[in-house]
Amino acid sequence: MKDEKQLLNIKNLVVEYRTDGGVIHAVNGFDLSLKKGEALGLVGETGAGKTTVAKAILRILPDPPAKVCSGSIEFEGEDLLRLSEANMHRIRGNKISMIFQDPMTALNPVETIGEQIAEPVRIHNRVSRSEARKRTIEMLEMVGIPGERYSEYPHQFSGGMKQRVIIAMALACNPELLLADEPTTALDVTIQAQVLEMMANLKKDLDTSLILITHDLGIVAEMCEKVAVVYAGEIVESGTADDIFNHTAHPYTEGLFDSLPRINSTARRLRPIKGLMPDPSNLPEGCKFCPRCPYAEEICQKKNPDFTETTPGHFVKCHKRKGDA
Amino acid sequence: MFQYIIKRLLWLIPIMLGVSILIFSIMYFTTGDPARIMLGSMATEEQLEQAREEMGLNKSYIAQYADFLTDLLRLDLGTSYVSKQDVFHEVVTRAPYTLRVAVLALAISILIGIPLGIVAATHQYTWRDNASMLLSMLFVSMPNFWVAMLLVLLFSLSLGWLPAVGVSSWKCYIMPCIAVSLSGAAAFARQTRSSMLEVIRQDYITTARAKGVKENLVIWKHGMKNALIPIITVIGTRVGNMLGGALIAETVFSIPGMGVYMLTAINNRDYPVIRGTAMIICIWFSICMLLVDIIYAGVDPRIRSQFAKKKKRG
Amino acid sequence: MENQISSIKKTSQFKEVTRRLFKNKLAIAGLVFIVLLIFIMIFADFLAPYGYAEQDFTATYQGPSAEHLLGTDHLGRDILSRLIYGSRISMEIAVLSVALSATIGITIGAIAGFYGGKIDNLLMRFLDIYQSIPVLILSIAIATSLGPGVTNTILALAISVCPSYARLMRASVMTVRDKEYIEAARSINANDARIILRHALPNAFSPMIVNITMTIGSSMLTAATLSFVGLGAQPPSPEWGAMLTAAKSYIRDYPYMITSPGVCIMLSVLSFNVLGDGLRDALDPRLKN
Repeated sequence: MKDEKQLLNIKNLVVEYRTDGGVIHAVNGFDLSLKKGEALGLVGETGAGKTTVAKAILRILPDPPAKVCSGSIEFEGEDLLRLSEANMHRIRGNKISMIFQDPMTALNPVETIGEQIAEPVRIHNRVSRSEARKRTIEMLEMVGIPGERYSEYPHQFSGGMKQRVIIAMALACNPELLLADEPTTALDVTIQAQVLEMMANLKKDLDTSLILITHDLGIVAEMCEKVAVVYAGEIVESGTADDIFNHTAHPYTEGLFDSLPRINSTARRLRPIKGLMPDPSNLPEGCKFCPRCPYAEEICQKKNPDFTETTPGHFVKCHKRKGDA
Repeated sequence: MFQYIIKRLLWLIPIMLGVSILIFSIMYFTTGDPARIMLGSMATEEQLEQAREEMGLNKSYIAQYADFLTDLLRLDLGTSYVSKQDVFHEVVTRAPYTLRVAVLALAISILIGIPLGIVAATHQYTWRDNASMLLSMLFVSMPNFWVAMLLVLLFSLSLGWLPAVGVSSWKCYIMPCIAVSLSGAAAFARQTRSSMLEVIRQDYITTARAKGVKENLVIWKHGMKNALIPIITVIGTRVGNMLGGALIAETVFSIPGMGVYMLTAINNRDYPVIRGTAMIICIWFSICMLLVDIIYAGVDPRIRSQFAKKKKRG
Repeated sequence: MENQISSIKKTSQFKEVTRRLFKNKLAIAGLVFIVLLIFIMIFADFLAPYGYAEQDFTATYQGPSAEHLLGTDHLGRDILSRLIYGSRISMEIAVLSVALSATIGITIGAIAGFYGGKIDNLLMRFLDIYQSIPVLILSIAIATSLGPGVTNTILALAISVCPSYARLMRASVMTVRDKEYIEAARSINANDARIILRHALPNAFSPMIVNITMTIGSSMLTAATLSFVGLGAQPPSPEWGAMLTAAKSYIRDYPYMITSPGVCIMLSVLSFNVLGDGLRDALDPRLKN
């Protein structure tokens, strides 16, 4: 099973939030693997647990209330969940870095953006102040910000520019893996395109692997070779972009596509998925998608389907596709 | 930054003018006849009238205020009704004691309060958090002068470690400073805890963690600098309490500062002294608030640039 | 994900607030003590074993005993009885001064916030000046000018602490002012006072109730301090601060005289503070974590 080129291998990850109001099952048995240089799109609705997975990889979940209950996250052959805090510091921002959803709040308002980009450089590489500064200016220019803005503060930048700063910060140490959590959701559409294009180019140039978290299938189609669809803390379908887009297998993925407006479609109305995501503190017993599934049958209510391979590399978690029903 | 300081300094002028009007007016509409207080109950009506004339008490409100203000600008706070001494001179000789207590107490309370608050915030819901918050709740609920009395009871009368009164050595300052600083330390601890908790949940703290910054640095570098902004505000407002507390503590420990001077004056209805000392304390307080605002701008770049933007528009 | 946590269960707001408040043991302890204090205040005549001014020169400076649970003072007055009667004065000063200052402050704040512009500017600059005088100094100045006594203490305190209410109210009115439902209220010809009372005041309710509980505590402290400098309640009044002041001279030989009044002040202030704290957490759980 062991693949040498495997960079990241998540197995059976379970994360819960424990609050006064009960236990929230945010991530329930999550499996994911990624090869070096690959780009994977993690798609799903808000609250499906995508961000939780990303934060679990970096071990920056707020504890309490979040608790990683079981599973393993292997990165370059090491289980991150077993690593000491000191070793983890060496990985964060160096080998794995993360881009956050909201550029407006992700930067420290009282430090210059230059200092903030230089910080991971100085932590992870034994370099002098001036070298770190040089590297920072390089990074700034790489993301299209003039180097003289080094000593300006976040409030002097627009949203799109801030996101560029954050990208520069994330890439400053040439990470092996970049976790991008809805990197463009908070931005204007025109700026979205710019930022995405820049990210795609940087990824190519630096040969970084990417996990792109988004609810926007269009972005995934543009950026990723592999796609995993997340629903209620589980992956319901995964495969190559071609598998997902052209050989859609899971009813939820189908629903996602149907709820997208398409110019060349003959359908006159959008078909949104009925109902809401189940309450994560009170998940249904069988298939999590069952209450909203147009094809649901008796077995779906009782038994959570296994994750099975339909064609090589294309996995689906559904009774119907397996032929049980 | 420089322009900000200048602007803030200029703002001090109308504030001080307003404060002087307020204090003058409160004292102007006071009950009782100053001439009578000065001369005692044996004075004849003629003597009283003459004294009123000399003191300018027969002039109109406006004229009297104008006198007060011009005197103030010449550093003349008038003469005491009782001792006939120059108030400004008395204040100058006594001020160092009061300032010493107030400044030391402020320093102590910051040094105790802020670390305590951080420990509480980073160990939320543990015994450390509960203990430090309960303790600070207790400290903000005790009258300063009572704390002072309890300290005297314990350290002077029971244990005999520290002198109960006087200013003969540095040891004499220990109890007054602690008595004044406790409630401040408690207030700072509470504020530090709550703003630290607020800051810890911000996205940029997660960003810092994701960058691989060590937990200690996350708290002290990224967290503290942001949490400091509301803490500075509270420190500013507490300076007033510190000054007031110092005045009161002086009377318990018989320190010959402005507190004893003012309190004696209150009992004698010696208005020029009360007015003068109150005015001086307000000036100190305003200067402290000015410093607070400057520190504020030093910590928070948004405040600096807010000013810069206004400048461009204006 | 995190957002969902806060919105998991939405019960009726009042129930939720009381539920959260009752989970906070400290706040409930404070509430219980306050209720006890009110009870003592009302039934002081029945509870006090002696009168508060009843002197007994055969029994001066007596330490705690079965006859005088907390001892007697320099005039042979029973300290426990004086403390029981003193609760009335301390509470009266604290509650009335806060009620008065809340009224003044809310009015100023409502006017400033609602009318904005020049009036707002003028009032706010006035408050700036006002707050450049430390509360203790301001109340000392006012109390000196008015003369000592309970009523004047109340007035002095009320005038000194009202700016915090004004600022709270102003902020609340300003956030409400431009909301659409105010436009709607205007369009049906509701008058200004009605808009302020019906819409702005409820909006400020949570911070206001917290501020009220907190200032009751701090006003008790300032009142005690005023007594200590000779401006508050005058002897033979059994106000707690005044009792401490009188006991100050006997600290060397009869220390029990300074402990009990101080403990009374501390416990009362503490109760209001923990209750205020608990209320804030219960009303706005976001602030807690």
